[in-house]
Amino acid sequence: MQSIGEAFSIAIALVLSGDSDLLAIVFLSLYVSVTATLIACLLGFPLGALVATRRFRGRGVLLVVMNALMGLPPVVVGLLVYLHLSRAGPLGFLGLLYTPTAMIIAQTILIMPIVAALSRQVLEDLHGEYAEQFRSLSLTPIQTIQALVWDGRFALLTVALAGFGRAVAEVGAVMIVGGNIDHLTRVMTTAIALETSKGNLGLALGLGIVLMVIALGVNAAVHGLRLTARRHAYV
Amino acid sequence: MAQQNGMVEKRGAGLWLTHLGLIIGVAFIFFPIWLAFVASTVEQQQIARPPMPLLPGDKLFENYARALSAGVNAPVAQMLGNSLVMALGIALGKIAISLLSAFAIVYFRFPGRKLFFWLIFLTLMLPVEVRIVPTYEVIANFGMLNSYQGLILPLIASATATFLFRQFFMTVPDELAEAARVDGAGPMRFFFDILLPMSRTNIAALFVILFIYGWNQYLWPLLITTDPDMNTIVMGIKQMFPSGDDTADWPVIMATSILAMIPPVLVVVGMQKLFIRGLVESEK
Amino acid sequence: MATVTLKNLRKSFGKTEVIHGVDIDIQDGEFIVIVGPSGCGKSTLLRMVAGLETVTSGEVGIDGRVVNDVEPMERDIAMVFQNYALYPHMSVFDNMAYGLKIGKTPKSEIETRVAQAAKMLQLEPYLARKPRELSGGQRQRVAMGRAIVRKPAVFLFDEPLSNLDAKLRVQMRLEIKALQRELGVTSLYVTHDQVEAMTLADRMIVMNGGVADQIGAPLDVYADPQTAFVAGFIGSPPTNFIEPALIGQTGAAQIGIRPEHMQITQSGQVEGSVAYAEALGAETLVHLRLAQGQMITVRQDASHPIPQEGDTVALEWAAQSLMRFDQAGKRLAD
Repeated sequence: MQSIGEAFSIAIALVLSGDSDLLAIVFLSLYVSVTATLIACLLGFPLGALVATRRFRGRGVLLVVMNALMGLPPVVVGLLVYLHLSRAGPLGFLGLLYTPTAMIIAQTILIMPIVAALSRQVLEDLHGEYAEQFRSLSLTPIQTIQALVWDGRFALLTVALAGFGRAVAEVGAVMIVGGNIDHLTRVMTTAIALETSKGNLGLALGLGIVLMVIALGVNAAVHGLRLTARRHAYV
Repeated sequence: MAQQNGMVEKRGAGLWLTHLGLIIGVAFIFFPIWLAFVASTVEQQQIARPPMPLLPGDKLFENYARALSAGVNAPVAQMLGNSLVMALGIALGKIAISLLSAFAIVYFRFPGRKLFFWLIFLTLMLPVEVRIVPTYEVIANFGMLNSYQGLILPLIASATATFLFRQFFMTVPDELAEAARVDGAGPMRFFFDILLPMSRTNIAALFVILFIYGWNQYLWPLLITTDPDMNTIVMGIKQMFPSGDDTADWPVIMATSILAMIPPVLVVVGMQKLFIRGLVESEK
Repeated sequence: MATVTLKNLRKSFGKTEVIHGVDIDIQDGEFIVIVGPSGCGKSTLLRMVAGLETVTSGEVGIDGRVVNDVEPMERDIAMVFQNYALYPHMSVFDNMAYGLKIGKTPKSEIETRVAQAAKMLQLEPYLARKPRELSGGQRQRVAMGRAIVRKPAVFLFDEPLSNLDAKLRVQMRLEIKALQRELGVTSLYVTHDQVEAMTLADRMIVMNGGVADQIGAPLDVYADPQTAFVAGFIGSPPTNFIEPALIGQTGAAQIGIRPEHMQITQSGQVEGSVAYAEALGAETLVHLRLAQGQMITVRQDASHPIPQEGDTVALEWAAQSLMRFDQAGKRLAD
């Protein structure tokens, strides 16, 4: 096992030299998580908006289901996806197990409820503020949701970033459905897990640094957005 | 007028479409869980051979009993216990530490107060996965591998929770602290008698979130517990996966995953209001 | 029961001095009101007596003992805060009992004292309630009850009535006065409301920019203000200030005269046109514009005729009601 100092200099060297293995892992991670975030937002925002603005039968059940999904351990979600995609499973014929697509599916399922729950909160607060005005303008439900989404765009963007932050740092589900296959389905978190347990701290730390930069970048973006949104709100 | 009529009709149709969509969506979500449950009640051979059965078999008690008492590498009962200890330890520890640090940051003037605050904030804003390598080194050097301390301690420090309590304490009027001082309450007395009871809802909301967070931890226990007896249930599931050509004991794996998701789902569903509140506040 | 002494008391925040040396000897049982506009340092002064602000220099003495470095609790004081500062999660009983519990008072004694205070303040039906279930006036009473049960040597009030509506404020003002008379506890009371100051105080301290401009009995302060600031601050509507030259005066930088000391006549010392008149029922406030454009208010009894807007009228006053001030605002001898 390397000493931490040694590992650190190897890590820096790897990051600075743009090591091809490291870059491949980083790009795959970003590809998977960004795609998953986009899909989750595409599904989650309308769902959040629907629950925030409309009262319908089954709304309570829907809320419970959405919340329950957030409680599911990611590994279990991974296992369920695995079960479906495995050769014996109902979707086995697609041959998706151990592919990036499988990882995108797993991450989407994991972060969609969070995106929906957070966007629901954002839109519900906004709706509470504007409900009377909307009624006085007799907007259709679709128009209402359009107006809310436009007005809450900065807040929704921070929701998307929060989802992305979770997706990119997730490891359990991705490990199970992706299998952590070198050059195919190895992403940052699974690589870190593997390399750390092998004692190969240099690569693990290098990836950790990249992940940290991404996490800080996302946090900074969220913070910046919030400031922008606030400035917007008071113009 | 005509337009208005059209709108009403469209609204009715839209409502039906929404409902249909929702029903399909919910079925979509429940089907996999149902399948997992079915898989946990049948025999090994029935799973390995397509097509998978869609109705529960008669091996429910047998499979669950086998999982709880023997499991694959370690009894699932043992892993459930480990997960419980870890989740509770992380939730309670995080709350205790964050409350105290937020208290210090808000109510005491000490040199470098601002600096400390931002330092905590910057370093701990990072998820465990990011700072895992150095943390692993530290825990290994302390000889805490395969121990509850090792599982819990590194995950206890929390910038989000500290930040949350800081925000809350800053909304508590200064007059209250002064009234307590005039009443003769020292700082710790004020903390326990006034601040803590006032934070009850926040603490409960955070507890729900943190319990789930702790329960669902995967990477960290995977790295530092090599002894099957210290495995947590969530990582235990992965450990049950066959390596190479071994055949997996699917009914037991499925029984384990059903058991693994019951506690967090119960907590979330049972305390939904608190859960959402905690979620929204900790993502702020 | 105790005396309170402030000796050349000063306070600085960083490099800015906000209290520039205040001296006063407060008698046992005296009701002292500290009054002044916001930012004059009146609350800071009170908080120094309470021990919530450190003393930069000078002395705070309670009952002959210098308490500069003594914790609030050890000073034998009780304080009523502007926003009541009730503990939101505790019942009314527990709010009142909290200080006693910390002071390890026996349980039976706590119960007697809280019961007594509750009776005095008509809070008996509410003892089990939480503060949020009470009205503003009731919360105010609980805050007072919390102070009373301690049986302190000194009561400190920090603008206790400023969050109540006007009617309740008048009622609570009377109750506070009655209570203080009954208990005979030395009290310091901060307010920006001169009516509260006039009605409550045995003596008042008029603060201006961190200086005690004048200390004295309310009527003395009203009748004989020592500075232009005090003349302008105490009394409503405020004292009129006139250019000395305008009324043929010399040797003073400005002349003050109270609205109630002027009469509108056919011919007088100075003329002005009526800008508008506010008829309040029992009295009328007539606002006049003098030749130079300066505004003057005259307060007259309702029995006088109300002048028409735009009329030109004359003003007259008794010579002894003029107050003369120098450049720095200090009162000059007549």
